[in-house]
Amino acid sequence: MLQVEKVTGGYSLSHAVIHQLTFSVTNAEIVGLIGLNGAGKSTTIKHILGLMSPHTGTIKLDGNSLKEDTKSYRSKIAYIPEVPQFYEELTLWEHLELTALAYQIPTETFLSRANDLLELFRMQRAKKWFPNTFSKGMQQKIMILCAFLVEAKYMVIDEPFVGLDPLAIQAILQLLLEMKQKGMGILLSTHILSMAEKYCDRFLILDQGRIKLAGTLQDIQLQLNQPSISLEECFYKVVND
Amino acid sequence: MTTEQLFQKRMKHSWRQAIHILVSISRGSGFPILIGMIVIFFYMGYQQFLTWYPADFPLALMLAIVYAPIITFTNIRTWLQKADLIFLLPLEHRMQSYFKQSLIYTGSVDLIRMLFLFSVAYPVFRLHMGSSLDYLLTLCWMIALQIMNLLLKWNVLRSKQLFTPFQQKLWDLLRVFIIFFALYTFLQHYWSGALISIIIMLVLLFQSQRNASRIYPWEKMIQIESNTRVRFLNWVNWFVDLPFHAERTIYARKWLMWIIQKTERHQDAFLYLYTRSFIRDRDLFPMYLRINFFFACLIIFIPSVFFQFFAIALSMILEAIQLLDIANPNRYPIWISLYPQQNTLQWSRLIRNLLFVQMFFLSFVAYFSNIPLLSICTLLLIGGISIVLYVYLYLPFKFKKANPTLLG
Repeated sequence: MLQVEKVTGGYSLSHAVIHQLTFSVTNAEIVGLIGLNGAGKSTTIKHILGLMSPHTGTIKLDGNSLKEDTKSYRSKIAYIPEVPQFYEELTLWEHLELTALAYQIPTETFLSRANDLLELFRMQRAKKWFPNTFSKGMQQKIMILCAFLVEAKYMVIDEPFVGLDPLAIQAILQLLLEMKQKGMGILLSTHILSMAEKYCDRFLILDQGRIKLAGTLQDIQLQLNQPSISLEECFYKVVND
Repeated sequence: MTTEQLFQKRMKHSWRQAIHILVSISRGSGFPILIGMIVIFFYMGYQQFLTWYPADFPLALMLAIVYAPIITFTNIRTWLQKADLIFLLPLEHRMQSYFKQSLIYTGSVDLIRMLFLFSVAYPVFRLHMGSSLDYLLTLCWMIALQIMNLLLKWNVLRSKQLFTPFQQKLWDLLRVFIIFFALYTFLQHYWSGALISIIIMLVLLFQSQRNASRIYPWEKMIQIESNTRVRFLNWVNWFVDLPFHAERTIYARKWLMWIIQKTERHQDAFLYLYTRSFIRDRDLFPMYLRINFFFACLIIFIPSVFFQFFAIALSMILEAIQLLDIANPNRYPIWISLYPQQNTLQWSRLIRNLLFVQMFFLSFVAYFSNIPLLSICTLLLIGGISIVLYVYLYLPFKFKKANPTLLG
């Protein structure tokens, strides 16, 4: 389980961006992280990935924090960033090879997974190309391919759909469901609320660095005393209050 | 604001930034010491060359070989930016004076560079080729060639005809060859040859002028400008850590990658990454070859054990500074800090191996140009210890201090 316990953090000690966040992501579930721009979603993600250290509070994966067992923590988590971040000097295939090396994926497993993913995202013909010649959507696909190649126990996804074509969006959603069935715990940050409502099991609504509402859609509706409204309407109610 | 004023403003801003960066380099990166060493080394080597110089040495040929590429190389500075496609494109009809300023600026910079570099040849020219008047006439000839070269390049840039990268390279080579021929024939006083070469230049100039489009090649010029900026920032990166990630030019280098793929054992992710960074970077690998080639030539031509030793040491320092870029965490995206496999200073293995290869290669060249074996052994011992200290003590300290989270 990914456990975030009373985490306060930010870019400087004097100015916290997120405040006392407590939530968890268990195996085989998709948790939607929802909030306006600047609500603290990316900061939360950076703390989970270990790119930032919390001022207070703890973050644990299956009982271990990053400091306690760095290798295990890192091997269990895959990440899809909002903005594609790639090595200019590596081709698409080399990105996959590098990821396989970094996560110690056996060669046969790597070849099978990599080829399946390339096929699914229609990237076979581009596998020997350098990413700086790709469109933004294709660059984003590199991030998706590398993350799914790992088949980690947990996945953190930051706005994965920006720039993707409809077929790729369909493929990624399909993969998310498959991985969830295999037991993956997924934290999905997105602004597409209709999609979140359809695919996520639970939600965290973040506003100004604090969790305003959390739980399933029914839980949230109950907390707002509005039993039949959509996630989008719940969200507007929270942020407009 | 007129377009001329805009050009002036951009040019001044860019110079202010460059001066600011150069000042910070000179404050604390070993750069002044390095420049001092190069100047002293060059001065002493040049003096030795002047004393050694035999009567039958083909000086005109050597000068033409050295100065033809210098005259040909020109980088048209426009300071255009991507946003200009939106904001300046509608003003295209008023951009003529902007680009005129750009050509005047580029020509002036080229001229200053050539005056400086040709002044180096004055002693050898004066001693072995003719009077000061001959020197001045040659200089005027070179200036004329340089101006024609710049105009030719500008016309080709605006050409209606599209060139493939290969055709572009051929065209550049042709320009180098014509200028080489023009300079060589002038220095040798083959007036008919010099006249023919200048006629060829004028015909090309006329033809390219006719073929030039009225529409400016905005995207091409923006790309050239961006490449210039990246080259400068990459160079700066050798001496100071830039806090941002400069876009790089990457070459596939398929033949070399084929060899690497056949020889490497895929076990370490970071070594995999760093090897490719080194091979495919626009500058790192070619510079490695150039440094080795240049210093090997120096070692062969300079008949002094002391200078050969000094040349090897200097080449190692230059290469070590250059290879710093591989280990610079700012070069890579966040992934390297997210991998479960720790970055146990794998870049140090690559840098160490490259420096050792260079040291052995240059020592080998020195051995065959009559350095005693005992001196070579001493050199290898001192060099080896220096490499180990640099790679295993200095570099980890430097980068850990710069970014403690990124290294293992």
